[in-house]
Amino acid sequence: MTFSDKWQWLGLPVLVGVLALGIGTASGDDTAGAEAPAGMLAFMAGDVASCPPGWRIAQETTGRLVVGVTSSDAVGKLIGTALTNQEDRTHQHSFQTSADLPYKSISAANGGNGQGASAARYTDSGNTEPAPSGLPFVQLVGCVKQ
Amino acid sequence: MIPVACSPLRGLLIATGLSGLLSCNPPASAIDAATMDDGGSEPVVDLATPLDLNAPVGDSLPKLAVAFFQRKDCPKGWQPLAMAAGRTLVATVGSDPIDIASGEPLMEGEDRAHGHAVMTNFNLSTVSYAGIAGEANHGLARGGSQALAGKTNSVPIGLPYVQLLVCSKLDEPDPRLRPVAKGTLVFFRSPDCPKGFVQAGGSQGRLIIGVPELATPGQKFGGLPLKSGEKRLHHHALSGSITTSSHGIALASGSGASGYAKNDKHPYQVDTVDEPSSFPYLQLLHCQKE
Repeated sequence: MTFSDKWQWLGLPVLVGVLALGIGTASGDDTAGAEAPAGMLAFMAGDVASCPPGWRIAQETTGRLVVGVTSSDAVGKLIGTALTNQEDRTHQHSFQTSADLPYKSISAANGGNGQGASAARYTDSGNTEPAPSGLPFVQLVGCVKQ
Repeated sequence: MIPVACSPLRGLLIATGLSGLLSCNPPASAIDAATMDDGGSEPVVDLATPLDLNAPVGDSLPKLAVAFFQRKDCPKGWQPLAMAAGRTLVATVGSDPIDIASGEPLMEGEDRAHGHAVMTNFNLSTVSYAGIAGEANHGLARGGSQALAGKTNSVPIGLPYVQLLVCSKLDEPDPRLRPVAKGTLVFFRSPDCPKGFVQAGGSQGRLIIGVPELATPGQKFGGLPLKSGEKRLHHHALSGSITTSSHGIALASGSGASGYAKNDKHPYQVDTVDEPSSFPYLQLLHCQKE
């Protein structure tokens, strides 16, 4: 191997490194050099009250769950009213009930003693008591990589 | 010199003064991926392909990470995670399996509604007549325990959410990039947390809510943590009354014929039948950066 050949192999890594720097800065990829891609949401452990440098508070998650979508048009849409601190959101229903009371025969004609109830279908309606979903929650700081 | 000309490198070779020292010999993988230029005699390295392993692209998150994104497309090295579409993510408890989905996924913008059935028996107080039971008159109702049935209307459980893109990472992390900050929580489609992460404790079996304004993070509330794949149920208490109409009988009140329903307002109290709380989720391992 000649002196010139040795220099060829020493020089190659240098060139590759120079090229790498150029590619990294010129690629236009917004994720280059970052610990996480831009726009990524990460929640922080319960004892962390702020976002790391380079991340912003995810206002869009304040008081909300996050649901995944794979359609770009659906990204960022808010559904429902945000929860307050430790709010276990309740809901209630209206209801309708009915009872079909069967007859019990008696050996008598109809008459004036109205103490008994008529055999018939009866209905009722109203509202249930409010109740929470029963689901368990934890509220955490959400951060978005800038 | 090895007679391989890498056209895009030539300018740099000249500019750096290394043109006399280097022969532009790409690695085998690069040659495999190279395309031929118009002359058909020289392979041309496509610098847009990830041939140069020194280029700092991507991120430091481990492979199989799953995350939500406030952006239109998944980043490079990530792809949409279809099985998480229409679902929130819930941290597995202990060594519970991953990729367990519960409930039907939400449609875009859907505020999933549910209703409950009502089924119970209620008690009707009774009256008696000075006569005998028989087959002559079927106008009176039987007293005692009777069936009551019904249903509620359908309403949402009212949990608010934001829709974000969900992606899973396919590429290996770039080890030269700094790691995410200590305390960062990341979901993984993996049975174990990657090196540098430990399984998160506070989120296991719970739905995660972005901390509300002026609230303390880390607070847990609501029900007990979900078991693997559990569809959490709930019900409602309700009360009402059945008000009967009278049926007149030509007998005096007495003790001969008994067990007839009293014409009255008969109250009842009952719990609706349990129904799932209808918030679909996918359970994944939740890991915390050490």
